[in-house]
Amino acid sequence: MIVVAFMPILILLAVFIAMSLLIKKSSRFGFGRGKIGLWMLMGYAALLVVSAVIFLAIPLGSTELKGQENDRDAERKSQQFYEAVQEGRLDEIEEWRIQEWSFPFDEEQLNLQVLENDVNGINLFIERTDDLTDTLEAFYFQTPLMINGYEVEEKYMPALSMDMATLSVYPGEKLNLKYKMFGSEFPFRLFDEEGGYAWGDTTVSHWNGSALYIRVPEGLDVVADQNAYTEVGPS
Amino acid sequence: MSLIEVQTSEVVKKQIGYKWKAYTGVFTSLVVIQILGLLFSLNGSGSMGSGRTGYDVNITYYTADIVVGFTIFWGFLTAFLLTTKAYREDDFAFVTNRKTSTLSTIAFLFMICVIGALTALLSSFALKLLAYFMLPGEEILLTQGVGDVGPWLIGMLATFLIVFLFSSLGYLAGMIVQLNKMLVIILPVVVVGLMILLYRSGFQVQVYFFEFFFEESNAWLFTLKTLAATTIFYALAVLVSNRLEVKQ
Repeated sequence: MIVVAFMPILILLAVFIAMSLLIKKSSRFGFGRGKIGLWMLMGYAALLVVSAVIFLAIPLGSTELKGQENDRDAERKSQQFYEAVQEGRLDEIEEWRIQEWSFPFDEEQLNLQVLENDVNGINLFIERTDDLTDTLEAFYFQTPLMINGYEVEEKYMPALSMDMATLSVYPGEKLNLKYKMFGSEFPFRLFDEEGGYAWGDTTVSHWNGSALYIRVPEGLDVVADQNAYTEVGPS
Repeated sequence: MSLIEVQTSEVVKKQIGYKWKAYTGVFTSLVVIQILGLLFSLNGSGSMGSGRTGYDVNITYYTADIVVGFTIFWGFLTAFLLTTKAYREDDFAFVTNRKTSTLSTIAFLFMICVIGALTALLSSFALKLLAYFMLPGEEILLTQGVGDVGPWLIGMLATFLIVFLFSSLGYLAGMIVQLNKMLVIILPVVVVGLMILLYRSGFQVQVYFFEFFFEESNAWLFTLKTLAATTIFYALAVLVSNRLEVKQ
């Protein structure tokens, strides 16, 4: 552990000594003296130019980021999302529908079983409607996950299963997303107030909306843990 | 006494040519240090993790910041070492005086700083290419501000100015140390000691230094500040060099 803690200092010290030996005139290390030094530089420069040309010329299938997401915009969008969900205005959040389910159901009572709800934070909303008589409908909505304006394509969704009069909501498989982000070096970021950012400024959108919206027939008795869901009152 | 009148510019030009051919060790060290920086950068300059409902996001961030940092350090150390007696006395193979010797060294440092800055920034493409092709993983590639020509030129200028600024600091420190060998120990002790003393009285010199130069978002002001500081440091180095003993 101690060695690891002192590693940066040791590396810097090694670099310092190595450089001093290479540059110092009285040093016995003649490596890179004479024309070899110039040839080394030319070879290295040629290699760098070639890599720059390849990087810029070949489409690498990369995604150019637009810039940091405005957190306030995301917060406002999230608020609008939840307002729309709580008032049952599904048409307004249609673009964020990820999945839908439909189950035949003719029981008097629905047992709602939500597993690990506290960990996975699935927000459940139930709407009672006259439109349905012997069917249950469920929709999963989620506003996109954004990384500096880049919309993540992979979508998380919970799993639902109906057994007799019990509707079970399981957490979906957690998506492990890994990204390589290639940014500009710090001298570039000095004068770039708008788009310039360091890796620490990279934002994964915090303000998001997700909701499992279940429509049940009017008058159905829903049995669930306290605070497991929010009753929706369409406006 | 010679009947041929020698022009300063001619002597400086000749000495630059000589230094270019003779001091190739600085190029070797530049290549070595940048390759070392590239190897360190392959691990990523930073990474961040973020959790959200159903998502676990991990982003590894790649830039050649370490290479640029190493190049700045190289600029400082190279300038420092060029002030050593062995290098300074090389100039006496030509017709020279302190003025031409210093001018040619500064011009040589200017040239190698341009090369250092250019290769440091070009190395970012090599790093990104290596990270793209060689590193394992199915990760998706995200880029920002890579490949725009305008900002690249300004970034190039900024990198050069920073490397040149630190080379002037190195040159000044080297000249001071040449006054007396004991100063190689005394100078860092005094500088660090002063910084600690000032820190205790609520004045953080290093913070002001970095804020003054590196939090300047106006390119013109940044250029002005760094050039002015570089000129002051080199001028001080010249003043110090005048106090050095005369070549026998």
